[in-house]
Amino acid sequence: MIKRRHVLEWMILLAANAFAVLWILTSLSSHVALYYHLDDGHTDELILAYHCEAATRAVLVSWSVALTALGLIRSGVPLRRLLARPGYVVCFAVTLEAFVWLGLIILGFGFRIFYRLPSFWGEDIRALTLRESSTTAYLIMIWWTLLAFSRRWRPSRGWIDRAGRIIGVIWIVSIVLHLAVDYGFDVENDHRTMARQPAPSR
Amino acid sequence: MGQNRRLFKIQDGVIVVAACATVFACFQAIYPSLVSNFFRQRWTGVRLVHWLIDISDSAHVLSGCLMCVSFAVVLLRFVQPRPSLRRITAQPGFVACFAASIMGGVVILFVAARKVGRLLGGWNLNTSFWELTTPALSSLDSLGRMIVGVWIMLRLMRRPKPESDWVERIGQVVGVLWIVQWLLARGIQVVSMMSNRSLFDDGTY
Repeated sequence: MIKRRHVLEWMILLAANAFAVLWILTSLSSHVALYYHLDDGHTDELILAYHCEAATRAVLVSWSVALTALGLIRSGVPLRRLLARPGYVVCFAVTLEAFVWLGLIILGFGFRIFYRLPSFWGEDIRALTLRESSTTAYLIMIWWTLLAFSRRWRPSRGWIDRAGRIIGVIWIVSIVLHLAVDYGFDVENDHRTMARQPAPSR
Repeated sequence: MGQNRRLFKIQDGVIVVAACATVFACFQAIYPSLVSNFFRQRWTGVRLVHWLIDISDSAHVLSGCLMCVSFAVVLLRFVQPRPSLRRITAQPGFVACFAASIMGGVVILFVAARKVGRLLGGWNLNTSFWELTTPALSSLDSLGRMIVGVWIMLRLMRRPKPESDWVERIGQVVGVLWIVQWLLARGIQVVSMMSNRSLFDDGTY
């Protein structure tokens, strides 16, 4: 028998997936130049990696926010005990960060309107989420280390906590992807700078 | 605990002196040019804005200094006699410095990897140490926000148990300074946006 609570849970997950798809579609329609302060003409592999990174963020953030809501609705466990579960902590940290991003995006957007500056709000969102999202990975790493140090690492058997732990691991691994993409753009810029340099005079 | 109160010993002094020396090295590396620019110019509004944009470098210097002190506080906290790990991880000051140390450690590794990569690549671009470290230090700008996040989570777990220990006090001050640094860096970004210039432009005065 389908309960009302289950319908609500499925709706939350569906909304998270819809949001992730919307985010990815917006990301694919962007071009990289504004974020990296470049013209264009980068290699296809690098731009693909950039889009993969943005898509990963979109899925991880949407799922984390959904799982935070589900954890609060389903378990009935107080928040202070939920925060000792390593998987739930990941989702909670990402949700906390997502709210900060939302605030920053709204502030930035209002600022541009107030001062009548040219608006690249789509680019602003992508730049912000890419630039700031590595902080979330550090937050996850630090909180996991603190839980382990204080011997409060208490994973639960539920799928929410497991999914949260998987999201946490993917998030930490995605730092490497971020650094690699950043380094790739850096290397291509170096090559361009070298190509533009005049030949040494004799 | 009153009877376990930590006294200042010679080894603590050595750690503090080493941290201070690193902090002064950070200042020495970037401040001379900023100070001379300040006294050399005739001041107009636009120049003031440009100088403020230059000070964004000093926000990075501040983060460099705070990083040194954070490492020192973590080191001091682990020196015996110390409270149990369970108690330490409930202290907001230690947690803030620990967070800064982990993030700083990763950033230092990243800078070292880039430097090695450039050396191995054999690019003759005359990149200075500060050219490489500034983007890395700017990634530390959001560390203050992360400390706010960690403190909020500690609070929600009802765990923050600050001690009246001098190491913990220093840790708390450093945590607050990280948050100030974050606000400063963001404020400078806003100033640069108001002047409709990017922070990455190398404008002439």
